[in-house]
Amino acid sequence: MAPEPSAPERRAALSMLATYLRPEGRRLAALVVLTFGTVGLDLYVPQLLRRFIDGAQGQLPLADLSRVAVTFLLLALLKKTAEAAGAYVGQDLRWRATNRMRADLTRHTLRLGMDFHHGQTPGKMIERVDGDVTALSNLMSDTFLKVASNVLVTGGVLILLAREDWRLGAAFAVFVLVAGLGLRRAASIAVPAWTRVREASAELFGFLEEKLAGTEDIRALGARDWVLARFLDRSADYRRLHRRAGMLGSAVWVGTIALFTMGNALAFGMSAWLFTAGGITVGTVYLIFHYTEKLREPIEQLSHQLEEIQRAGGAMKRVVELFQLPVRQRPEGGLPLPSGALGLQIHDLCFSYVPERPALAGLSVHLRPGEVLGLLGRTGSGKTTLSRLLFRLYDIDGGSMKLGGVELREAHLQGLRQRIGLVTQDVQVLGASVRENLRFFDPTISDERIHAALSDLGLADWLAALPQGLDTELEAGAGGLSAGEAQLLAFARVFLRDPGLVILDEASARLDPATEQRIERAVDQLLAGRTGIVIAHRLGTVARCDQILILEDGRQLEAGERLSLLADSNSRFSRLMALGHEHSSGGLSADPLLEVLA
Amino acid sequence: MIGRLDLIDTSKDIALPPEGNMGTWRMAGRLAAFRPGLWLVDAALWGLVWSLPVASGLVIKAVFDHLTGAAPAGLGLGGLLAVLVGIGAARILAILGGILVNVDFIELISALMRLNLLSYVLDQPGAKAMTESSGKAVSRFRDDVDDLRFATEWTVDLAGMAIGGVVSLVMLLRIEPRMTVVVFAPLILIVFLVHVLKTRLERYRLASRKATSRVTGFLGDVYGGILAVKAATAEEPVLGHFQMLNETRRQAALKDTLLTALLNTLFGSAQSIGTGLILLLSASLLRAGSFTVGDLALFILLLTRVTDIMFAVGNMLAWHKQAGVSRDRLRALMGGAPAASVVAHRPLDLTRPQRVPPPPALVEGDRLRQLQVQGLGYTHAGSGHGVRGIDLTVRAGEFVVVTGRVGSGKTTLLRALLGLLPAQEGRLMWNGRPVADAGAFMVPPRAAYTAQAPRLFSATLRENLLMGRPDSDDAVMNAIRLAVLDEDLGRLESGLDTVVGPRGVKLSGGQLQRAAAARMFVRRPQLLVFDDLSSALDIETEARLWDGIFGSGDIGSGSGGTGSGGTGDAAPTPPKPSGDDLIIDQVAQILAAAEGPERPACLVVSHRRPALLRADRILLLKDGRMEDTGTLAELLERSAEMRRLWAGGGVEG
Repeated sequence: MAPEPSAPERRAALSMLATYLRPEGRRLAALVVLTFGTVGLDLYVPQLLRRFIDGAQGQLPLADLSRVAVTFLLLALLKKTAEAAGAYVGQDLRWRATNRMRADLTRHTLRLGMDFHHGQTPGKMIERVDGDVTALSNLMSDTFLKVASNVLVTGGVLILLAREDWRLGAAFAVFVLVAGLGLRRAASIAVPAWTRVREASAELFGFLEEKLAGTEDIRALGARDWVLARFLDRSADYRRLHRRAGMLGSAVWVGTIALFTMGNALAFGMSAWLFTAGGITVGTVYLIFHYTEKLREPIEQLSHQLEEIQRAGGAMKRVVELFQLPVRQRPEGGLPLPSGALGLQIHDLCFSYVPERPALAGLSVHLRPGEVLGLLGRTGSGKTTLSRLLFRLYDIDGGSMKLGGVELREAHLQGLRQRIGLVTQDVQVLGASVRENLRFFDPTISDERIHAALSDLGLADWLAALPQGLDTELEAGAGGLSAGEAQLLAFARVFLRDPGLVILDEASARLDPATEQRIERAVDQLLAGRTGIVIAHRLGTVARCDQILILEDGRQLEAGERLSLLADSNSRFSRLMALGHEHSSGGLSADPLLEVLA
Repeated sequence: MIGRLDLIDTSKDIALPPEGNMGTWRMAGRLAAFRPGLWLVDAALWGLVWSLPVASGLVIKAVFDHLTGAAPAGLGLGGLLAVLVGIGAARILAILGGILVNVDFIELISALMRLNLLSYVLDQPGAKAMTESSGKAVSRFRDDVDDLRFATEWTVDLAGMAIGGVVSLVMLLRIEPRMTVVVFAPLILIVFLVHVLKTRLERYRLASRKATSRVTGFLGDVYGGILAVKAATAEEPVLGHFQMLNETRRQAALKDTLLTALLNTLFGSAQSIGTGLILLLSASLLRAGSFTVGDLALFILLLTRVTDIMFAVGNMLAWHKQAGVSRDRLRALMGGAPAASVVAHRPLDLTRPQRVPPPPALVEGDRLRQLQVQGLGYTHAGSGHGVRGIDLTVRAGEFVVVTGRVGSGKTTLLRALLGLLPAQEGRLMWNGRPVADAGAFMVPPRAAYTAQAPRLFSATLRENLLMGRPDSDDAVMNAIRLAVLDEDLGRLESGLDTVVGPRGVKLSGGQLQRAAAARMFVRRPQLLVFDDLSSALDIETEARLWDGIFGSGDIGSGSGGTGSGGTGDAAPTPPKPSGDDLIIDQVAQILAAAEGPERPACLVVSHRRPALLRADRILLLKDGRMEDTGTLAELLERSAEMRRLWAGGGVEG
């Protein structure tokens, strides 16, 4: 990793900052006024000190001396007040801008495919979306402005020094140049080290999150000591990286001290020489000392700000990287899908993930609106691929695929997905109320609609049995629900969205008969007036289908009307049915549709 | 506004028992005492960093007095400037050493607190270890631990600052006592003001912290349930909610900032007022010649130093108040445990790799002859659901099935029996000896458990199965064969070294469950407890079925001609045992061969016919009560509930 960010990286980072600061124009303007007002006061006030010292050494009346002191006091207080106001406005600006960034980052990552999300723990995502943005929030407002004001103070001091004696101005201009370049160099040394520290931090907390979510398994298998040992290993890694980054990161601070010790020596050396030569007063010696000390504040702050920037640089790099992860964009048309049940016409469909290795080939399906297709086949036969293509996670290579009469690639993408209801085997429950689990934080879905949907699905009694009704909080993951309840929850989610096509990967197991009956009833409701594709695991469900499609290695092994296939005792389907009935468990397959979105 | 924040906060505030509380200073003291030597070196180095500037100030005073001729220096100007440079060099060395020692110290105490928290959580009944989502808990492990760490880290600076501050004051008092008193009196007033304001600051900090943990908790939920969000195309509403939470956080943070800025201004003004007072008071003294320009320079320099120190101390007090909030939240995470347990000392070494202690060996008394459960009961606090009055016996080699409808309490029964829920009612006896702490006892090598939705972690498959055990790859492969995972293993990119994703999501649902079964088998427990193994077995069933239809397997060719109608009665049972029976027998045989003459016992939740048929005994649950117990034949005869389950457990038609 290069210690300096590359030019395009820096450009990307800067343009990102600009994007988020632009809408805050008025706050930014107020901040500019407040900040630059303090700069002026900062530069003027020391002149009062010289007047005071020289006046005290000379013959200025005591009353005038006191007036100088009081003026000094008032202006200094004014400066402090302006600083406080600046801090408030800056913080407000920073939160507004970073909140927008958090939202955009979340929006972006939500659009990323499951191949990305499978590699991330939720803890790691929290760290990347919230932790990193918080770490770079210092860049969002006042840091850059403070840098600017500090540059102004520095320039002003150099001019005022030159006013006393041009050689002083020149010497300190060189000093500032050396200090500036040196500290800039020092600031970049630690960026890669801090990036690694943040990565290790994300690792550590990702580790903790998944262990905290898995206490049942850890306890029941007596694996506590293993978790503790691995935790300490990660903490040790973190310590090692932190030590390194801490040492490298101190370069700025240490460099500032070294430079300013030299600067003090330079100031005293030169002013002593000018003083002895009779060119300046003691008050001016003090003024020079005070101004060179004034240089310390902006440069020390600048170094602190550079340190902040360098810390934030690591976070920024990661945020930009995250933003730059491409969302697979496919060309989309703007055609809306018709309302109501959607017919499906697939003609001679071909698709492959890898060239020369077709995942689906020569597939044709004609499903009239309201019909149900039973999809059978073993793992890897293409059932999941077909669902992915319908959800338009990929585009077909050949043939045509029409939903509701609209060729998929001509449909509006989000509109298309909204018209397809997907029920996976593994239902994910959010750590939120039942209400939000059903409507996904969409405030336009009223409680009445939820109640109506639940009672249509025959779940009114289930809802009534919940301790706090729709307000009942579910835990993330399994949510304290049984697998059957979770499937019913998923049905209700789909039902609320009223899709025209339902893709249902039936839960294959874990259901007791009573729940199964309830699910059967709900499936009836779910499929009523809708087109359905059911990846069936139960013979009872197969019996509901109008058409059957058996896939093997991406080709259709058998397809047709269910009843006619059943009547033909030589068909694979009728043999499968017979065998399934022989087999007491009645299970057909257990291929989770979880893979659909992978 | 605060009221509104409180209103929408849904996280439960646990009422903490007042006893066992501890001031944050004392906690910081305990943490400092964890490595007292390290703390002392740390404090000494930072003491130097804080007090060396006083020495620089004295040199600068000498320079002015030398120039004005008030007190010509023996060293000469060049000598004075050389001393100034030397002091700078010493300070740099102190900083470098201080950083190294400080990072060591703070990483040790952070790891110590996190270790205490993690051990506590892992010592709780596994199914009820946490009172909040893991996303929220992570922010405790991160932010709240950081706060307490800060509060401790500051004690190091405090020591250094105290040295610097006292030296400065003594210096000033010796030069001009009256002026010193007049200038520093307002500072003391301001420290007092901060004390008054800090209770309010604490409230704002708490609100701000709560708002943050709602944001992170929500993110955790969303990314944990990302698939559901995507499938529901709910990205926009989710974002809307996220933005609302962020806005609440902004408002809370701003209040915090406003107050902090106010405090900063107070301190800064103190400095300005101080300098103004110095000027006012020194005017006549300078005129009289009893106060030199060097004295003036030193006064102004040290005033800045001392206000900086007081400012830092003020900040530290605020940190300690904030640390109080964090302490309470950490105590809440630990179920209200005394604050001392957050900072309890325990062996800790971050300089070398950790060794996992070897798993406990099976001693003779552990070998299962009989497990008896009497009057077991557990009621869930919120819903009132649960189980009561459960009696159950499992003997060596037996296969016992727990069955019942969804919600009848099957999982609760297993969890209570394994101590994964806190003990409420009933007795557990292993070979006739009472088990005091089921959670600690019902673990390998005695018992092992595969939950309904088992979790794997981000690590290699090998590490996921072993979780620190030293077993050989042969033993692991054996367990994998038992769990019918061997074929899948062949397809994984790097076999046992394949990194399965977080929570094992890179495996399919079936693979995950079979991996969890293998994880249990490799521990060779006396009692295998499965919560609904049927979905894992479906894979086997499925493979056989499909092979029969599509491949050349014997099941298919043997029965190909017999199938006729789709919905008629089941065809004659094939002569072979079904797939389910096969795997159960296989498990039993291989484990028995590995462990000696006794077969391991199995306790299984299932409603599938193969399991019910094979059961030595069935426990039938209904609404949390024991409906009946006996063999399948007995229950079918006696119980309508059993007949209903049996009818459903087979083929519908």
